[in-house]
Formats: sequence, structure tokens, C-alpha cells
Amino acid sequence: MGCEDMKDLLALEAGGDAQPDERIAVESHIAVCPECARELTDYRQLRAALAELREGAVPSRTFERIRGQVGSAMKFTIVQRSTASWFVRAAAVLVVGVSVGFSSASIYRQVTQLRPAVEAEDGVADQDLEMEKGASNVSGRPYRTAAGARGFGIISPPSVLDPLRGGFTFRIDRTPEAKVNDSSKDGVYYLPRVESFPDPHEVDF
Amino acid sequence: MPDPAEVDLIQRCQKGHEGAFRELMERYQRRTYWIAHNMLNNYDLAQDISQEAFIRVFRNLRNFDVKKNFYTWLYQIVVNLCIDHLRKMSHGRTVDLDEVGGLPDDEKRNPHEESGRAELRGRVQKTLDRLPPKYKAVIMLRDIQGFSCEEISEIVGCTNATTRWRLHRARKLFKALWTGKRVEAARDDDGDADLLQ
Ligand SMILES: [Zn+2]
Repeated sequence: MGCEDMKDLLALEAGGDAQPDERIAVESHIAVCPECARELTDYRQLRAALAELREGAVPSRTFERIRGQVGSAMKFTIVQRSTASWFVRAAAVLVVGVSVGFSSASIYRQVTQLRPAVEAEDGVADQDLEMEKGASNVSGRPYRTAAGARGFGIISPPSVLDPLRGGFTFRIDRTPEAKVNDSSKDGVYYLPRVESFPDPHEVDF
Repeated sequence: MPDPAEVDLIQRCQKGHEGAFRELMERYQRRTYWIAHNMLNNYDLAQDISQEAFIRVFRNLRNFDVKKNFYTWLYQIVVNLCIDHLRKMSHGRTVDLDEVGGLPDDEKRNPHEESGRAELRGRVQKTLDRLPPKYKAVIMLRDIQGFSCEEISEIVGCTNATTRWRLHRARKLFKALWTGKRVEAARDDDGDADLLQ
């Protein structure tokens, strides 16, 4: 193997990266070739110079700042995930609300239409009572009006929605804190609040 | 094979233990920062890249397979962010042959004449900065940060043979630039300037 072929191997051998057979070739060549021996030494010196860059002084508080910024971004991600899941829940509640309303309206219609017959049998106007019965069946139990009309209230159990929540959660405290919307008569909605995660301004994170 | 204590730490992070991620960061922040600094030669950028890398880790950690090495995954994110940054910085710029053809006159000195360590570091970094990003990444990971070729293959996402090929090219280029030899530029299939002696 000549000097030209040796050049590539010298670059690898300088860092101990040559294969065993390549190393043997290099060693036997540099034993008789001072030029290549010198080149190998040069490569090794350059490696030593490169190693000087491994670490050094950093501006003060660099790592604190990195942890602080990452901590804030994590907090934001957690809230974002929770908020996304809150919207999914809110949408689900809306769908259920509409379906319950639709179901109730339908029962109301049935009851209203049947009322003369009910009154004829019992002599009592019992519309409110019938409505209450219909509305109380949103959990999925079959119901029957006094006049025998059948129906079925449908609502998804809350547990079905849980898998939609973000999977990587830092013990989010769902105690209502931040009031978002109180204009709706249907209820007041809250954003979940992250309690357990340290505030980057309070804690060194 | 990943260290069992580290697997435990990562699993605690995946379960959402608040202190575990901080511990993970503290364990890797220094090396992360210096890899970014070696690549970009800028304290602020090194800090920004480190932050971004940890944020990406946090957002994707739940999908991380603990049977794999965490550090090669983290450093892969860091190196890729740095290479993207370097490519953006050089976007639209053609490679100037004179620019890559050797050190400026005032830097054409024998390394043995350098007195201070800081001077040496400065000169090494300047030479390193002249290498195309993917060669820079490989020589930095091997000769500065001391990773094995197998680890580098994982970090860079290539075969061991490719790592060795890039490493020998990078060392030859570095030596040529260091000693002020003229080198010619060519393009490789990644669009990087590949410097040929
Ligand atoms: Zn020779």
C-alpha cells in the first residue's frame, strides 16, 4: 500500500477509528515511511486541539435560564393540552345538551298531544309531572309517559370522554379557578389550573 | 443498553412527575449546550437551541421507547436543529472558494506558536466553522465530544460506514484548512458543499 492509499487510513487511525486490519497496514507503513508517520502525528495533535472545545466557561445563569424557559414552555403545553381537552368536553356537553333538548321537546309534543286522553282518563292535567319524568331519564333508562308513549334518553357517560384528554399531564388540579365565561345561563366554565407545577418565577426551574 | 436508573427516570417523566424532567435536564443540559455551541459558535444560539431541544423532548417524551438510548435521541434533536440553523444561515449563498480555501493570512501560523489556550480554542473553532454542517457534526461528536462511531451513527442517523467515511473526510478537510492548504468545493447529494483536497 502506497502513501496515497495510506492518507485516508491515517485520518481514521489518528482517532483509533481504523479497523484492526487497517491498523496493521498503517503501523507497518509508518515504520518505514517518516512522512506518513509525521502526518499521523499531525492528525493526533489536531485531535488534541479539537478536544479543547469540549467545554468551557459559559455566561452566568445560562443553565438556569434554559431550565426557566423550558419550564415555562412546559407549563404552556400542559395548559394547551388541558384547554384542548376542555373544548372537546364542552363540545360533547353541547351535543348532549342539544340531544336532551330535542328529546325533551319531542316528549313535550307527545305529552301535549296525548293530554286530552290523559285528562279524559284521570281527570288531572299532569303535563309538568310527565315532563319531569322524561327529563329525569337522560341517564339512559327507558321511560314511559302516563299515556304509554315510550322513549329513551341518551347521554354519553363522562368516562367515555376521558381518553381524549392529553396523555402527558403534570398532575393538573381541576379546581375551578379562572372564570372564563359567565354570560351563559347554562353554567359558568373554568379553565383548569396547574397547581403542582412550580412557577419559574418562584422556583428555580 | 440504557442504564436502568435512567430508564426509571424517563418513565417517571412519562408519568408526569414534575421533578423528574428537571433532573433529566440537569443531567444533560451541559453536554447539550456544548454540542450546540461547538456547532454554532455562539452563546445565545447555543442557549436557544438547548431550550428548543428540551421543549421538543418534553412534547414527544411520551412516545419515546425507553429501550432506546435517550441521550442519542436528545443529541440527534440538538444536532439536527443546529444543522437546520446553519443551512438557513447559508441559504442562497454560494460557496466561495476563496473563503473555504484556507485560513486568512493572519491565521496562517504554526499551531505550536500559539501561546494561550483561549487563542488555540478560537482558532480551532474558526477552522471548524469552515466545514460543511454534516462533516462538522461528525468530527465534533467524535473528536470534541468523544462519542464512539456507533453512537454517532445513531445521533446522525446513518450507517457506521457512512460515519467513518464522513469522519475521515472531515479530519482531512480540517487538517487542510488548518494548515492553509487550498481546497476545492464540490456539491454532494445533500446539497452541502463537500470540500475536496
Ligand atoms: Zn507513506
